[in-house]
Amino acid sequence: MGRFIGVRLLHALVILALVTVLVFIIAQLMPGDGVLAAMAGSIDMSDASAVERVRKQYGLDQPILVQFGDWLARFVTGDWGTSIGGGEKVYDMFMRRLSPTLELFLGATIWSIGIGIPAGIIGALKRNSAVDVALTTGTMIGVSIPAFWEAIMLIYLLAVIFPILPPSGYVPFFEDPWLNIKSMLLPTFVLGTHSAGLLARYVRSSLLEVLGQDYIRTARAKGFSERAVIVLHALKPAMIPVVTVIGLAWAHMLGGAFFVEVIFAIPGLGRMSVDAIFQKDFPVMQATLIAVTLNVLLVNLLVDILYGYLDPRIRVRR
Amino acid sequence: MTEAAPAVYAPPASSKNAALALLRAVTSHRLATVGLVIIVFFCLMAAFGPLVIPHGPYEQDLYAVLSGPSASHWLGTDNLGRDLLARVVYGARVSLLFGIGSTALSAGLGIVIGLIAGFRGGIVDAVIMRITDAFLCFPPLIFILAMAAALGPGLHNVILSFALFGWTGFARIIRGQVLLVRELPFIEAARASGLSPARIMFAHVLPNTLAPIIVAVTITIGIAILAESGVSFLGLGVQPPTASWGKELRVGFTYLESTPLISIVPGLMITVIVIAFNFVGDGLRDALDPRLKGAGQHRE
Amino acid sequence: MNDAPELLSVRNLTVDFATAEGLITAVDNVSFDLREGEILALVGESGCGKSATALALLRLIANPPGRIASGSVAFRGQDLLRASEDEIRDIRGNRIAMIFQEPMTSLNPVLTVGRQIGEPLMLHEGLREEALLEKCVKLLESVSIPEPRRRMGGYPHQFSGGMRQRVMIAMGMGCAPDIIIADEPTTALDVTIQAQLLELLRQQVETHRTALMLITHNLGIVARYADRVNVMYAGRIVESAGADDLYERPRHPYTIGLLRSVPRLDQPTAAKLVPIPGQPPDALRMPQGCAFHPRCPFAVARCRAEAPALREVGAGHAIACWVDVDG
Repeated sequence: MGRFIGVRLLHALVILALVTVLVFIIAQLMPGDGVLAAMAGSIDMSDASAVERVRKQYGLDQPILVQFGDWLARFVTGDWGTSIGGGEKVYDMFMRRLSPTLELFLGATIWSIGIGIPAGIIGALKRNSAVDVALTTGTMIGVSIPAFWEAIMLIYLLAVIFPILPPSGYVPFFEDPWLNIKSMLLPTFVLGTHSAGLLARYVRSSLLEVLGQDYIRTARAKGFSERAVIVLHALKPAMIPVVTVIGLAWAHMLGGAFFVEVIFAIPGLGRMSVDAIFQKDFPVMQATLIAVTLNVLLVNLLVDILYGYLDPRIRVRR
Repeated sequence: MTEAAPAVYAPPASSKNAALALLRAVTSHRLATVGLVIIVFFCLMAAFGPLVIPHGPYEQDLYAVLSGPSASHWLGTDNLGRDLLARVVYGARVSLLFGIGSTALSAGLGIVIGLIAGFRGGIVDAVIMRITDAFLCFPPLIFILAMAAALGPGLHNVILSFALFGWTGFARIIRGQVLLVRELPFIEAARASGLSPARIMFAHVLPNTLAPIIVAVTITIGIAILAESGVSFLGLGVQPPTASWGKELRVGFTYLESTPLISIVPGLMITVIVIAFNFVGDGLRDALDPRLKGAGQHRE
Repeated sequence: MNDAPELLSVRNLTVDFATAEGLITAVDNVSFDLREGEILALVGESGCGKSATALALLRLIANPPGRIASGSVAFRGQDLLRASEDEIRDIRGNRIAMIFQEPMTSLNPVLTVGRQIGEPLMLHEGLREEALLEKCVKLLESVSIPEPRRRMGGYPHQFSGGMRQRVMIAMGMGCAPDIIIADEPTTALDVTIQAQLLELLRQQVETHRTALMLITHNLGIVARYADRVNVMYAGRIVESAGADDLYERPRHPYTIGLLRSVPRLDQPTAAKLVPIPGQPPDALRMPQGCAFHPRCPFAVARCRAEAPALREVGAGHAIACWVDVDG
């Protein structure tokens, strides 16, 4: 087990190193100096000494490798720089916006598992029936529909035509739990739709594959009812690979959070990232990208470990 | 549940036969046929639609701003009094061009890199594969947005951003197939008869990797269209006054209560065309690679 | 042995499979009986329909693509093909147990061996906790698995091929069934383990008067263990006889060919091995008449036109052939 995790960790570190380099390169690709472009409004660009001062302040006069080293060293120690837009410490800004986004992810994951897994199981058990075709079409819509359109349509339906839910806004859970849940219902659903569709597709094919296995026939030959065969023998092996998809869905949720947080006015990391992109606020962008990567690597590691725990065949190999 | 070895596809006898076989593969699949019909319809609309509709996409009718459907404006107008139908039809051009263009670029880049990784092996392969791993960690949209922001707004920059992300999938497919095909007797024979590696790559390896590539291309076009609309929705894609579904939708969101049609129509267009590409991709996958029957989009 | 009470009576069993290319008749009008304490072998090349026959007895043919088209399977007078879902489930794993080939894939990889052995006992005998545990341990002991208590918590992949097959056998014997159907129980195992496992099954037959249906392509096993033999070719039984009788005087050209194509210890002279010419027929393009005629050295005109039915040619000896080739 230790060795298994060790190898995965090492793998993750290599990827993280590559990503930091990549992130740094993206920042370098920005036309001109990102900082200067962003500060064009606040300093007098014709004043060479002022420009020089800002360049120095952000270390832009150093060779690239030195800049990279400096930046990395500071990043690891929690000094993520200062936001160019608001002048706030990026680290503080990030931490403040973390909890709405985490709540959003959590809610979306609950939706996607709650819808995706049952839909996949039903599709597999009623293969090629009308129900299956309907579910297949539904999951296809789920993976294809743009999150922003779905969000807008649901707002139109449930906040404009039938004003049941608030159209947007965010209230922290500990301030008003009921309002928090009500206002997060739509955003979490929208964010969870894509992964629900993916999960349903994956669960369906995984369960179908398992149902064709010899050991399912063995279970039938023991005299189990069809329901018992599925519950006792098919579900566990079918669900093990699904863990990977849940991890992947979680990892890719920030992409959807961009839209969901913008449309529903949730002050989370997605909105912060979009704002940063528009303001060319590269300290914030870099922090976001690295945090995203870290999140993905962490989730992958967790999935690997969980997988090893669930699947006895891996438990021995490691 | 163990990962099956990638299948080797027989090289198609000729390109004409291959095209016919593909068409047959799609039409033998109910949902894929629906998808194909939709795609053809959208292509026709993008190509000939402007000849039919009475308004241009930039024409402003200042007496009918944010109007509902009327005899003159079948779908109504947007906030600048432009005909929604015209905007949607021209938006189809942007979406399809972007989808096809960025996918072609991704595939081209991915094929070349994948061939290099597969044939060179060793350290080159290891480095390329680790890079594709690193790319897999990024939610695609974040990467594309960051790149698009870095490169500046505009459609060609978004295409480039997408390709810089999208090549990894193709590279992985090609590399896997190269590793497999490389060991086959006919490659040995080709090498023995003195063919250059480049010639072997293009004459013998590529035809063998055609099937999975075509499936990936179909699905990537859908993803690209989705990405373009998203980037345009956020304001980084096509620049005004060019029409794009994503951008129309952003306008529509502002006027959702008064003129919902501006939100409904472009979003419906995006959803339908993406579903169509996914249906065709699924159908092709089922037909070309029976092993993957029913598998989801993500198979990592 | 022959006057032992009849347990199972199969009549005109026909099983179809729908494939993309067309309908395949995997089992064609098969009839046979099985008595208490009898070891009946079902022999034939792979694809001849012997496994499909076994699965059909318990209605375990995957549907789709398979379908039991007609026939009856009477178990102690009850027609299993027409029994209700509940009735057949009560018989499966309880009165009639199956032991499958491929113990690697026939055991659930993510459930412990103990649980899988215990399931039929829980289901049919209502055993729980201590009693269940004790019974499982006893079963594993009876198939000579060392340290049964510890190994019950293990997973199939932690067992060797032979051990897995023992587990399968223990699983089948749990409820002391009247009939055990063993489908190629020892294929892919080495010879000494094969012998041990078959000996195990034979003991079960002798001590509990269990009937054993042994499905195999291995004529050596048949010679050594079976009381009666049904030889199958292209979905039909072509010869049915007592095991000794069959080896001494095979009368169907296919059986004769089969016996000539394998080395035999009971024949003093080192007779030359002669393979049967040609290939088994394509199930989609069955030849007209007798399915074996294209490969048959004795074929006459009638063989090409009309398929022969099974007919008695001696005491307890029947063949489906127009030409009676004696020995």
